[in-house]
Amino acid sequence: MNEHEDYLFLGAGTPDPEIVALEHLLSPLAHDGCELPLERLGPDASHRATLRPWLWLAAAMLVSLAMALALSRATKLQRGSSSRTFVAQQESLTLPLEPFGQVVLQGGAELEFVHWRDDELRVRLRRGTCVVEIDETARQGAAFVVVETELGEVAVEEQARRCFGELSMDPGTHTGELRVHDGLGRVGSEARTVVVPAGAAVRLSLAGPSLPLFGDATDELRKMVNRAAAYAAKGVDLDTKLAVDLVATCRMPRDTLVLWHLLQTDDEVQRASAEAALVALAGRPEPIVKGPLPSWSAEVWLAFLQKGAWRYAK
Amino acid sequence: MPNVAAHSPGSPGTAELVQRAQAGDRAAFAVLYREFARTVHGIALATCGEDDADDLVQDVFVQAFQRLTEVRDPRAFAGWLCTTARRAAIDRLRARQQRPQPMPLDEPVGREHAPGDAFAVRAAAARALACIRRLPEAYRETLTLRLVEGLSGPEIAARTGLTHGSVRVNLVRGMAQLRPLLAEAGLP
Repeated sequence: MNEHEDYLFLGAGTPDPEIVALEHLLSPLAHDGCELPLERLGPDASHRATLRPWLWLAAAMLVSLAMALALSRATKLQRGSSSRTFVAQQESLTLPLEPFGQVVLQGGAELEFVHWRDDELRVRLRRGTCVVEIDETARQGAAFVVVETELGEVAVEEQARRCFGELSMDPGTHTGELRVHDGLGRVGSEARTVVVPAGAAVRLSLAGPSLPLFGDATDELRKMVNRAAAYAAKGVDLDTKLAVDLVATCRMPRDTLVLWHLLQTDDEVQRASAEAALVALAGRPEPIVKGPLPSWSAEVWLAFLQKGAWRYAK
Repeated sequence: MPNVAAHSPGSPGTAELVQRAQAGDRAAFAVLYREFARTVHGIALATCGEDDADDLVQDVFVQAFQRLTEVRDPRAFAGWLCTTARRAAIDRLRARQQRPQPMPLDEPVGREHAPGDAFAVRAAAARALACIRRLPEAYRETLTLRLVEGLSGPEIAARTGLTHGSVRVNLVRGMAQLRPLLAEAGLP
């Protein structure tokens, strides 16, 4: 065995430059050393073993199960179920969508099940907060799951893990919020449509959805987005100066979420400004050999940003 | 709390921790987690890639805690955990293959980042991992544990149940097969 093989095996001794370079290259992927959240562990096997002799407990559980089953018949929804409304009182209420996933209504929420057809599963959130969860094995195509509100509707475009996100609605103030935990949501209203990727949130109002922001957006950018929302509330399009200020506030790769939405404008100056900033912060969606900076469609940018700039926190 | 560095997997220290965890001692299980998290993470990376690895580590340990009484010989914990991790990783991979493919992590050609850019660094690491994942299973897992997780050959042997000789062979032969793949990908 030579000393290079010794370094490969032992990780000590005379360093092999090739292995050292590879170790360095791959180090960003190593386990981050985060602790295991002990609250996730649940009851351990020894605890269950201790309880096993208590048959009366099993009997009690059977009774509870029977009661839960009776209750679930009232809340269980499946393809072809008729329209009905659910209200969660003090505690949360789970609506199983078998075998698809579930919608969890938090206390005080009211939700109408509209229909479940071959092409669409649609519910309407009237008030409160609901959490949408979809099983990995039961995924359908884009926009199969739609949650309506009086402020617009949310379509689940993509999803990789179970919990898509949560949507809140306050009919008193006519405001709401969507937080996406995984995948991508598209929020549409008469005013505009925005996309909300995992880790981002958007506020809803009668003027339509605001520009979405990732949770790690700076206060400065949030203020600018609020100013833009104030314009939208008045039914006024962004003026060029505000748009340029907004672009200038985007300084980190994930700020490109705001920039992407500015590509939707008909104002050529605003669009060009946003696209130049996108290139500066996220790179180019396609290779360029030479010549002036070309323009890419919003959909090309969306796919590019989803697999790059929007994936990682700052 | 026991000192993690004071024992190695398969040693009486680990066996004792396993017995304590089997009796419901969560602190002991937390120590086992710290000791074996990199191993499970490496197995997850080698099988599923980076997207699912972090989640999978937590899922595997939660599952392990709940099924810990199945380990009759506490000295067999390391091998049992690795097997659990491999099965979970394969299940995750299958589930992922049944749904629309997520976007690839590879850096698009023409994308320009400064060399120290976090995206560029991570994308290069992902490309190197993709090369490792093209290797036969025994090589990719051992190389991932060594090159990504930073475990030494003896540590890998203690955690996976392989002999020192097997680990050394896997590393040397794996590297021999990895070099042309890295060169093909334009990596050092």
